[in-house]
Order: sequence, then structure tokens, then C-alpha cells
Amino acid sequence: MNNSKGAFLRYKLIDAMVRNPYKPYPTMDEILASCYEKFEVSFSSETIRKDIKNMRLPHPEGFDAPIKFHRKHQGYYYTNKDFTITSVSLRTEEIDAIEQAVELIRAIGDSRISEQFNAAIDRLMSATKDYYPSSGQVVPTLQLMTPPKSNGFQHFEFFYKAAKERKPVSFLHFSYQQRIFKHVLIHPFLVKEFENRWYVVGYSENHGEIRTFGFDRISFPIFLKQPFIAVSPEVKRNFFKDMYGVFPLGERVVQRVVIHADKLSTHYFKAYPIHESQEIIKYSSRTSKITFNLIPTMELARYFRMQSKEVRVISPRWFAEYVYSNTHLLK
Amino acid sequence: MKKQKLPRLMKIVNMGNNSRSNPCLLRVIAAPEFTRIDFGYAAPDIYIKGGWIDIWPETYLSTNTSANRIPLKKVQNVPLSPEKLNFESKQDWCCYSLFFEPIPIQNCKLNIIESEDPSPTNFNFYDIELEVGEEVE
Repeated sequence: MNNSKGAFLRYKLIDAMVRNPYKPYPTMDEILASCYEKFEVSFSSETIRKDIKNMRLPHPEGFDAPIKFHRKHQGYYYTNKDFTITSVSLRTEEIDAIEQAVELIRAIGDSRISEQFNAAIDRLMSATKDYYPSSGQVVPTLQLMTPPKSNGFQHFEFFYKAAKERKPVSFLHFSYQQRIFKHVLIHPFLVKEFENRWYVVGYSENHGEIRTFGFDRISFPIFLKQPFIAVSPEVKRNFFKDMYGVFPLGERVVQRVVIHADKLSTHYFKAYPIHESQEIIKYSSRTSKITFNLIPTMELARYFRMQSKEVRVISPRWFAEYVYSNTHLLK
Repeated sequence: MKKQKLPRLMKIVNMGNNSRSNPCLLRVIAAPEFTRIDFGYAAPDIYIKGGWIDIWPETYLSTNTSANRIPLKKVQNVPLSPEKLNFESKQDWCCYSLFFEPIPIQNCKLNIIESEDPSPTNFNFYDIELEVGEEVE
């Protein structure tokens, strides 16, 4: 029997016995007898004592169970009579839905989600089912690309907290292009992922405007105790709406970008549109003209450059020149 | 109950006549228990594999508000000489911190002295003008 499976089952049994109003204060011998009856395994009193100790542990390790031994009755009881480790009551369909969602989240980014998340899900599921295998024990039926952890990803929880709790941050930044360092003061409002690269977005005091910084170029972030400069929810929602990628080129202006795509790539653009503004005009030769209304970005330029045999940028002219000559027009 | 003093970010108002940009002095934090100074260093072009860095253990601070030398307590992300951090290429870079005994949390001019008789691989910064800034959590 798997240890964690066995432990969860015993916790549930102990919990049920302690809460049983018809037979309160179960003794150690009674718990051992019930365990034997239910699992057909002889446990030692030491194991049960350990289980009770684990149940008492605070979240997320345990259940924070207020379980005590009553000297007079020589048995166990909860000091809070309403307490139960199985306080979440979900229907089977709801549990199945959560399981699917958890599998999807784990598939998207097993390496990206925190220990806390895993612990929380394990607790939730263990409280609703007799046995829920914890992360690492599941063989997924859904598999997505899971790239290795990237440099700077250790900042994820820090910046997520900063953005969520509106905490200004000071950090050191290295520019790959200019090879210079800066001390940056930022009021973060968003953590953004694009092509497995992670960024923090916020109002930069250095630049006097909203800026995006790659986690991989950030060192030593610290929280500052000063008033937070907030941006409107509208700005938060729409900041990346008109972009493919994160770093705008030139002025941050929406433009009509036109490309010519060959036969094969036309299929791919149709199957996997890269922006909601994308429109395809097919020619009789089965090639196509594709238009977008967006802010040209470094990432869009890189995307087109990588497909330079199949895709040709037609306009705007300056963007085509950037893509094919790699002139640095980054603001 | 007396409120615990929080560390302060010291604003670098003026870099003085320090033209040196590698290492680049980036941030100064003054706490009741320590003074933290953060640097950035980008491997230069002159070495095939980017060269190396270290910090002289006798590095110290001084300010215009006191005659005392403020000694180095510990380092982070950089070794103390004679150990070295060897880079792998000219593209490499790193940020590191030096922790000293505390300086008074007040506006001052700061000197960071790695060697009084510096070789080209040592760095000294003189008369860095600091102002008391925001509290650090």
C-alpha cells in the first residue's frame, strides 16, 4: 500500500471516528481495530499517533486538526466540534472536473506551478476522495511542451506577489543589446508569459511610462515601502491586445502589417492565426496576402524572419527593412 | 514599543568623478545592521573567455560624516580573493552584493575602497553622493 494513500485513508477514518456522535472519544485500541477491519492491515499505535500528529500540523503540511486526547474518557476528540478534514463537499462530476483542470494545469506548466499549488490541490482532493495521487505520481493523458526552467523564473512568485499586492519593486537590470546595467524602480501590474519567456510589466519610474522587463535580465528584486502608482484596469487589460509579443518597435502605434505567404504557410496561418486582427486574402495561385492591425514588435519581426523562405513582409516598409536587415529600432 | 527601523534605499544623487562603469555601482541600501552595495559586471571584450572577478577582502567604506573605516562583512555572488569567479565567455555578466558594517542612515558622501594602492583590476569609488530614500521591506 502506498504510504500517502494509506495515510490519507487513515486520516479519514480517524476523522470519522472522532466526529461520530454515537461513539465519541474513540480510544487508540478502537482506532487500531477499525483500521484493521477496514484495511485488513495491522498498524502500530505509533503509526496512528504519527497520523494524529500529522493531522494537527498547520496548512499546508497538515489539516490544522484541533484533535486532543481526553484523559477522563481515554479517547480522542476535536476541541472544535464542527471541524472535519473533509469539510469540502463536492459532487463526483465536480471532482472529475477539478481533476481534469489540474491535469491541464500540470501539463501546461508542471515546472512553473508552485509547491503551494501542488499542496493545495493535494489537500483538496484528499479531502474529497478516498485517494488522490499527488503530483509526480500521475501519468498524464495530456502532454504539452514543457521546456526546462528558464533563467530568472525564480522571480515568478516575487513579481506575482508584487503585482497582486501592488508593491513597488527595485531591481537590477542588464540590457542584452546595450550591455549596460540599470537600477530600475517599477510598479508592477502584470506578469506575462510569451513563448516560455517571462516578463514583468509595470510603470517604470526610470522611464516615466509602462515598460516590460524579461525575468532573465533581472537580479536582486526587493519590495519598497512607498505609494504604489497604479494604472487603470483598461490599460492593464489592453496593454498587449494589439501586439504579437512584448517589445514594441518604434512608436507604440497600431499599424497595418501586410505579408505575402506561400501555399504551405497559408495553411498554417489559417489553422493557427497569430493575432485576432489577422485576415487572409487568397490568390488563385493558392498563395495569399495576409494583413494584421497591430503594433509591430521584436517578436513579430523574429517570427517573420524565421519564415523568410515562406513569408515576405510587404508593408510597412520600415518594418520590412527591420525584419530583413535587423536594424535596431527598439524604443 | 520602539518601532524597528527598516532598511533604506539610498538614492545615488551624484556619482562624483567616477568614470568607471565596470563594475557598475547600481544600488546602495543602508540598514541598521548592514550596508549593502549592489554592482553589475559585464565581461569585457579583452579576454577570450571573459576573464574573472573577485573582491579584495580588505575592501572598506568611508563617509564624509565619520573618520572610521567601515569593513566588509560578507559578499554575495562574488568570491573573496584569492578565489575567483571565472566567466565562460565575453557575453557573460553578473550582479553581486557587498555587505559592510552599517553606515549612519543619513545623506552623505560615500567612498568604496578596494585598495589604497589600486592595480588596474581593483576598483575604488570616491565621493558618491547619497540621499536617504524609500524604506525597503
